Amino acid sequence: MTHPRLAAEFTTADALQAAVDALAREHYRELETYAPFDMPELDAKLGRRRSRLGWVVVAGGLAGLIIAYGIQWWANVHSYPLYVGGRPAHAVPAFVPATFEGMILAASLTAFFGVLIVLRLPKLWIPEDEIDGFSRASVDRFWVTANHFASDLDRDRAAELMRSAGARRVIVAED
Amino acid sequence: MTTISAPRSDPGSNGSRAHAQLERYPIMRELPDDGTLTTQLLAPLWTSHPAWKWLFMASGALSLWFLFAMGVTFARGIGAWGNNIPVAWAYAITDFVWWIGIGHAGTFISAFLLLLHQRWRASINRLAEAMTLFALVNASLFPILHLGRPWFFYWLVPYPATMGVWPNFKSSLPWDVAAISTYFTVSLLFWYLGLVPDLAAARDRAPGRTRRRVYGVFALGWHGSGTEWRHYRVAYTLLAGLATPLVVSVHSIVSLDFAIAQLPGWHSTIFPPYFVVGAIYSGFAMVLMLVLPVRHVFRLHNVITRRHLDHIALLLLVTGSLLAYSYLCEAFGAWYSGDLFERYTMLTARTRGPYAVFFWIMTAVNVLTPQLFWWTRLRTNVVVLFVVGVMIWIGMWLERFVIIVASLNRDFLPSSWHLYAPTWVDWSLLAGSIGLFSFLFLAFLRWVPFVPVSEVKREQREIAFESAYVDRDGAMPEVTR
Amino acid sequence: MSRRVEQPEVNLEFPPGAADPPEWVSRRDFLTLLGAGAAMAAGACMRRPDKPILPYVEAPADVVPGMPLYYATAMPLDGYATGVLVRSNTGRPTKIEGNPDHPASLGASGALEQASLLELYDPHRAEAMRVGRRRATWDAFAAAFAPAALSRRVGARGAGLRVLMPPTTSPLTASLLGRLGEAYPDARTHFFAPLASSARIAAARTSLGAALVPQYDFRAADVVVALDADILATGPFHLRYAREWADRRRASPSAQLHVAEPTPSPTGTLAARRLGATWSAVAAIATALVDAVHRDARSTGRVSGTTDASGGALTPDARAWVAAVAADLAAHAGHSIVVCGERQPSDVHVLTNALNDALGNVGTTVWYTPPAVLNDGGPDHDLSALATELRTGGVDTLVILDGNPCYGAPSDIELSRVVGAVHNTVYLGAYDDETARVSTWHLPAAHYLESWGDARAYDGTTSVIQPLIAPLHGGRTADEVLAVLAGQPNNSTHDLLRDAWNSARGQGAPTTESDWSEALRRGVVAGSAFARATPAVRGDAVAQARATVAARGVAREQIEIGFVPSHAVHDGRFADNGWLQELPDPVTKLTWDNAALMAPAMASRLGVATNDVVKLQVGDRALDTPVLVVPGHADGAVALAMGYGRQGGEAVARGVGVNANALRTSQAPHVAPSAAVSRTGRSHELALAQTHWAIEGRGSSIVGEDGEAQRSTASSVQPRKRRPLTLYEPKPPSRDGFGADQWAMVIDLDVCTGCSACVVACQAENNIPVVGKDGVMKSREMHWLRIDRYIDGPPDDPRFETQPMLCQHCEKAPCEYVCPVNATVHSEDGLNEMVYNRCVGTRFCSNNCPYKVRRFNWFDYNGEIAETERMAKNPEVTIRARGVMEKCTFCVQRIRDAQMASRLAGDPATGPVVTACQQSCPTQAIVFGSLTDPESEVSRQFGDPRSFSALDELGTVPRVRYLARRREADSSDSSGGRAR
Repeated sequence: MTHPRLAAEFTTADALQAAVDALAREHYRELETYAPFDMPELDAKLGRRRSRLGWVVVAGGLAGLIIAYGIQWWANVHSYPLYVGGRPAHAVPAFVPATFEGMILAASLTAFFGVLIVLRLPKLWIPEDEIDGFSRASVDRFWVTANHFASDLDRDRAAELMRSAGARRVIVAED
Repeated sequence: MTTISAPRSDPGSNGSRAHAQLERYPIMRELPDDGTLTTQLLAPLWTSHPAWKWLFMASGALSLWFLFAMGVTFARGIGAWGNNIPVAWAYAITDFVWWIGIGHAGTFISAFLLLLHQRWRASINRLAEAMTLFALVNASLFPILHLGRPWFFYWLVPYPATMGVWPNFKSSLPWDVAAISTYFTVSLLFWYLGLVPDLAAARDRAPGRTRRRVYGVFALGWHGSGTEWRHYRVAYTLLAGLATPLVVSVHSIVSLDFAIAQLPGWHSTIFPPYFVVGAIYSGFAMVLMLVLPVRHVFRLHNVITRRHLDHIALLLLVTGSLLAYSYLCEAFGAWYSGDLFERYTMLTARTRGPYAVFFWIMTAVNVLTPQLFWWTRLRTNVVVLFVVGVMIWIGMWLERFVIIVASLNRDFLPSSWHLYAPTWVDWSLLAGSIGLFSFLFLAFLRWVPFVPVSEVKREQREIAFESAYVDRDGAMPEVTR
Repeated sequence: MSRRVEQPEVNLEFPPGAADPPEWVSRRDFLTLLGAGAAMAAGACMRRPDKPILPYVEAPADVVPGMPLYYATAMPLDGYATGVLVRSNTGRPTKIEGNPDHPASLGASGALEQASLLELYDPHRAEAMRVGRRRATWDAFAAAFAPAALSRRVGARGAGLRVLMPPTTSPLTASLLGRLGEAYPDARTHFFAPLASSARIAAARTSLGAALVPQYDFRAADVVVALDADILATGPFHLRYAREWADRRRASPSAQLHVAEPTPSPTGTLAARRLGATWSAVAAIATALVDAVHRDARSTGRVSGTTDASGGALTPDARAWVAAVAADLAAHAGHSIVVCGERQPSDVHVLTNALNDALGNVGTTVWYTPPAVLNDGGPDHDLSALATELRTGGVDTLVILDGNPCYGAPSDIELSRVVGAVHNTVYLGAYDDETARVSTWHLPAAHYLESWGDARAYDGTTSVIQPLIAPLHGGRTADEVLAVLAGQPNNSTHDLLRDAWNSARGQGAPTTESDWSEALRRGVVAGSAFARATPAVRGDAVAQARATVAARGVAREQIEIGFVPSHAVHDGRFADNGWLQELPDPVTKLTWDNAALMAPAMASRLGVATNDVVKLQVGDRALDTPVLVVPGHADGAVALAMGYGRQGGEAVARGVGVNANALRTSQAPHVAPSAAVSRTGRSHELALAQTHWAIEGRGSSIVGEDGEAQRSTASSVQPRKRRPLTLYEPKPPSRDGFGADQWAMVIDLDVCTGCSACVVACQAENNIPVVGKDGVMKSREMHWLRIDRYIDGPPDDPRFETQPMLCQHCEKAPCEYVCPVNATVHSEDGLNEMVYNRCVGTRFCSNNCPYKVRRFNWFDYNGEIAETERMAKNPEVTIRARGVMEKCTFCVQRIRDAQMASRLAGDPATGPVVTACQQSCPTQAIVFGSLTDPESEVSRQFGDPRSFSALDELGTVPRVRYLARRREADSSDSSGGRAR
């Protein structure tokens, strides 16, 4: 089987939220939601923790800072010091701007490529793509999918909850 | 910032009128459902506006002229320009500072206002970001063009050179290289990351395989899953957080190109803030010049409401006033220094010298015109806004011209004083850069979702929620935060 | 390129190349050249002269194979020799310097001497001998003009033969003319040069009873009065005079120079009392001075300094000037000099002689010698006499030996026309110029660096002219032509020279081989100067002169036009020289043009300003000329430089400026007494190298004087020893290596005349390109060393400031820290170095240079120059590419040479280094050396109370310092030439 065992389509964000509430209340947590825009309000319900990307970016920024200053020091102080304008070779204030830019650049690159890596993007296919009409998830439809159920009973219960939450349709994969 | 964007506490107008304002101009009006909205906002991608083709070709032609002027410069040398000794920098550097200044509004809107939860930014931030990118393309061309031996521009970069000779990091020009390249990269990443969900929408709405494929590739397989949104949110906010100090640093560093010199008129410690304010000022002026036609042509009155215009106008008022203050400081500093040369340049040459007429035009335009925006009606009058935008756009070019040429042409030794006059090549480069900008911007309007669909939907949902809340107990909605 | 030259250029406003549309690189077409083909063939290989020539015995450079050699020779100008040393790199003359042993040079060399090098390599020089339109050969000429053939044309006694040449001092030419006279008794020789004046000698004839010229010793003078005489910057001995005067000022600062002149000259700018007076007023002033000084001088020997009524014709200013100057003269009787300029009529020279006589200067500071010029051109030997003969016919063959008389002749003679009418004309000339175009035969003339010969200096000292290089274009000398006419065609000038000198004994001419060698090595023939004479002045002649002057009166209403030599192109003979055309005039900074100089008052009366074109009218002759308003110019006088408006075949010269000769007449060749000036409403943009003369109250920062305060207090400036606060102490000099020397320069503004010899010297030494008129108008001159001129104060009696400005080699150089690629850095020995091949051309350094001495290669100036011009380049100095910044290097190539020499010699201390500008400076105002040597002159002068740094307050800590000019405290009277 290719597509998820259970998938429900909603027409409004509120319906999706209702469904998630209902499922969460009954401890269905292994859910994935799909929405055309960011809905942070779902995270708490599903116990999603804040992304740790921030720390990676901090590390990246520090690395950039060190490298940028290092390059300047090595070039102007160590490798080829020159007597320029009667100023000392190691001109700390003059090295600040490029150092700052280096830090920002490295941090930004980390943030951008960090998120791609964490999300394993680009990713041109996911099982949900097999569901007919799923593509509207990026436009005006809201989906919940789930794959892990203790039993078919559980699955039917979940499907029931989704319907009652106002799902436009619920798709149950046959084994 | 609250005081800026919420007319309620705007000292210029009393509370009740502002109250009325708010209700008359919500951030979004009579919004359709998500589907229709998406269709509306993505429509320009599928169908071309009749006038577009002609504008596109015209700007393309101008860009070719730009190329030709560059060719002349490369082939003959800088002598093809009007530059001389003492005025060794003139049009090219003026254009450079001007464009990079314009490039500041985009990041300011998208990053700065995002951090401050200025919700109204949502509908116009992508336009502004695109403007930033294309302005930076121009800005990065001029310094290279300007070199006596442009084919060696990479000597300013600390690449592993066999010569073992490195850039001199005491000079502000390598700082420029670092600042501009960083700024361009970060702006591009920020812009693209923001685009991804909308590209996904475009992919899923695209008529025909090819377009679906193309947008599909750029959408990176975005599906809008909760997990994706969770990390995406953080990354996007982080980029905004990084871009905000960056945008301040870039024009500060550009200003150091002048401030670290000892030339009267350049050698001034107020330059960094002065230039940053001027940059945002000119940037917003150009945002107006772009947003107003786009809004009109694509009937975007529902997502770009008078509220947006009102806020941009207020920002112009504020930055314009700050700029006026900078002008005063500059002059006062020169007078207070008691230095013979400073005083002559700032007080005599500027006001009565050969370029005085430009100085006075620049002062009038940049200082007086934004004062119109103390009046709410003018803040939301499309015509006034557009005209003022153009005036400031030009005024800020003049400001850079005055700072650069009017300082250089009369420096310490009267024996070396000499006037500067541009040649046709100088003019061509200026006009051509505007052509290139238009060319890129028109392409953007045609092929890229220029209103952030996903964000607008999000905002719409919040507004809907809050208005419901208002209906219950009649309190002011917090949509102006 | 050749197209440019063949088209009729009469209507061209600017020389081709010099003024093509702004954008085009090919603007410098006058550096790329027609006929480069032949030139290349000529220039490619080494061209050693075939006769043995001998290097200067004390060659400044070690005579090592591969090292340059220096040869002594002499450059004749207006006939008079100036001794020079010529540097030869592998057989190419590359630099001209002064010959310390020569009385006219004393080691210095003027702008014209320096630039004559470029003339040698000028690709516009005539390259082939021609008769009619056909090419000819020397043999054909020799055959056609050998007595056998020629006598058939001109008759056995040569009644139909005339020779026209500029005044010459050459003993060889003299002897050849003698032989010509023997061969053709009825032939006659005429002498003409546009600037030559016989007034001085005529005056001597009347007042001293013999043809004599005055000689001066400024070293012994306490007061010098120059009446319309630019003694320090023009004339055959100006280098010597400038040097002597400078020495005197250094020895006794109280020595004063007073000048009355119509148009500001370098001499005038140095004057303690300067008076702007028209030419006729100068004459009246001379009379007034005589009256004030002459009374009883002879009898009592005591001289009173009072004026009397004879000053009645004078303005109050002039009378005050006369009173003050007369008093000064009286106070220094016997130690003063009064000099009168060439343009003044002989009467004024008589009065001048009388003054020197009355003051008892004759014998101490003034004496007389016979004129060095051969036959100053008595009435029957002048040009108008020849013209009359030519008109009346009977002259079959006219031989013109150089001088381009058809351009320089006064317009009333219409020489071109009459010469064109002569059947058989021979012209020996370097260019296809106005004269060549009307001559039957044109023989290319050899440059003096290509030819053997001899010439006398103004004091009679004889020099041998020895060639540095074989003629590039098969040029010939006047002597060779005369030899052909005299019937000895096969002798080379070298042999002629030896023969002539062997025959001419008693004049100190070298006869033995060793004398000869010595003469060649040293460049002068020892003891060949004329004997001094101190004749008394005839009173009747003086009275006569006073009467004439009084009768002539002072021009009140009518305007006088004076025709002055151009500091750049002289009388036009240097008009094709790019270096000189672009050399800013010492006073007005005008380049690539001449203009009607006039006083501000006069200009406002006429309602014209600089760049307006006016019509100058003398009788029925008119000339449209752009105006240049010059403060300090005499009201009522217009000065117009000669040598412009050339219409010959020289691509650079053609069409630059207007031809002053159109207004000159043989009656009034130097000053047109009554002229009219009217506006035309048209305008013509002049290329001024400096567009702003006012100093804007920055005098104390720039030239080390605080105007008024200064004058009211001391006569010398208190140095401002302000040392700006700094975070970084200067780097201490290292014990050894490069750092052991710390190079520095001091320029003494008290003796700098602004003559600009250093500018051209720098240009020659450092391969500095020419940018053309358009380049100058765009302020893109490439001169590494420029002379700043400030004219401030009341426009009728302004204050002149002269300041050579070059890279100041700041210890805290603002240009260095802004360069993004380390292309300009500081050397161990304190040089501000420019690394051409690292420069990317951001020009930030220039923006941040407060002295604006950096020069940028806006185009590829050196890319497309002719092969001959390449030969002029100094191989020790890099040729700069397009897009690169450049500037003064303190002649680093000379420094490194000296360092290498001393290393090789095992000498720890670097030998003396002489920069090109320093070497050329006539007044030795420039001193260069190392500060680490406390004994060095530069160290001493760095400590001089007058020393200051330009823009000291900026904290750039320049290594170039100036010695402030000494100005005497202002005398009570504000008129009559305030002390300036």
